[in-house]
Amino acid sequence: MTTLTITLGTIVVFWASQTFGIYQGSASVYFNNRAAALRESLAMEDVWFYSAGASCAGSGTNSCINLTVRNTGSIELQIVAFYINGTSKTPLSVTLPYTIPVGTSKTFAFLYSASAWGSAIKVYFIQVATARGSQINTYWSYP
Amino acid sequence: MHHRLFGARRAISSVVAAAFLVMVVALGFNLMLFGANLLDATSRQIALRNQMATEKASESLTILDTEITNNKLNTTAFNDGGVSIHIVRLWITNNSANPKWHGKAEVNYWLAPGKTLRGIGNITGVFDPSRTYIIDLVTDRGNIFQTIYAPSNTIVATVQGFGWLTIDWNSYQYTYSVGGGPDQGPFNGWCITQTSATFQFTLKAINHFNKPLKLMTWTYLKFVSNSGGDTPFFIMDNRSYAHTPFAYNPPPYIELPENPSDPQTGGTPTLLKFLGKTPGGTEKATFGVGDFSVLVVFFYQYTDAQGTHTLGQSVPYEATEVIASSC
Repeated sequence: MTTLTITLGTIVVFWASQTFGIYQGSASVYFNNRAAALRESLAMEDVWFYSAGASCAGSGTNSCINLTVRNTGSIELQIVAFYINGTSKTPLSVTLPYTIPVGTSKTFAFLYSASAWGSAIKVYFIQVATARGSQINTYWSYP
Repeated sequence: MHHRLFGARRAISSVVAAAFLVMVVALGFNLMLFGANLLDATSRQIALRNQMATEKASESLTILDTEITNNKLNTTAFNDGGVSIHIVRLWITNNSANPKWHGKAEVNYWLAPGKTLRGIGNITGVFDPSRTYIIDLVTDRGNIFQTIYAPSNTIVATVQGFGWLTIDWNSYQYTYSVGGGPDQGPFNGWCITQTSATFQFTLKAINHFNKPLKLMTWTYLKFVSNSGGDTPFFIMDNRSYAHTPFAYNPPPYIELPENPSDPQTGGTPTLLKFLGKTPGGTEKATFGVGDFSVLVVFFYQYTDAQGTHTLGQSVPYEATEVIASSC
């Protein structure tokens, strides 16, 4: 009887520690991720449309859009995606994800084609996303 | 003897089972403490996040004046918010150059609450007093405060009293009338392809004061031409259309409702119409083809226990209105 009790008790304790451990691990990861996301804060500091290629990160004579993103949070940002009018865009001369340290900013250049992007619209919906899920959603008009 | 031994073994198994039960309960209690600890840590992060958001929303900078002296910008600003402001960058746009010039400067200005700082933007550069410049002041919390230097110095300096107004620029639209015909539109305000029409511009203003505001007849939407000169479109009565204006000659006033429980969010956005050539008149303003910067200048009455205060506030915006046959 004692042997049976010890065996069953060991199984129950082992099961409980495994189950609780898995729960603790997953909960810890989830809450730590959420806590890190809460420390994120970013701002679109500037948007500028260049008609000449001089400031287009060495892209020659193309037109481009420069987006300047500032990290205003207390944790470094990992920029993973840009969307302009709902379409994913890849910045020039920068590989994503790109890390922006706390208190600094980074200018990202994108090739711009007025005809391809719909010159009649003139207002662009720009979204920036981080690896932790933070976003900036702003409207800017084409000057 | 046999009975005693049998009884002792049964007692041992009960003790062992109880010990295991205690271990399981201890594990559960440990899990509960772990969960409480996680919740506490998350709550602290949420509190910090809220504090950051509150501090960011508390930043308020009134730009009192911008002038160009000895080829250097000289902006004077007043911190009328509740937190210290750290200006970390200036963006400067020469709006009247062709092509427009756009540059930045790393700066380091601190303004304590209630303090005024002169000489902001006193940086190396060649600034022409005859040109129009848009200046953005970026703070380390991510807020952007903007002012426009215009050659004629006709931009009204911001004079804030007890709150502020904001504009929902997404509501910025226009209708037009050709030859007195019915209004066409509304259309998005940033792209105007009519070159021979009369226009009515509409936008929504939000009152962040703790009391309602009465708008004065001198309130206007101004188009500052990049090639020089500017055209104000004065506020008109809300019955107006581009083809039929109604003078705004209060009383009754157009009132912007307040939201005393949440001034940051502000009151219900109020639709305003701009098409008058003169304050309180019925003549419609007109302008031609060109590129313009847009700003709004409000004049309003705020009444409290000390009496009625007439205040003014400009709301500049870095965007260019293009009026051409095609955008």
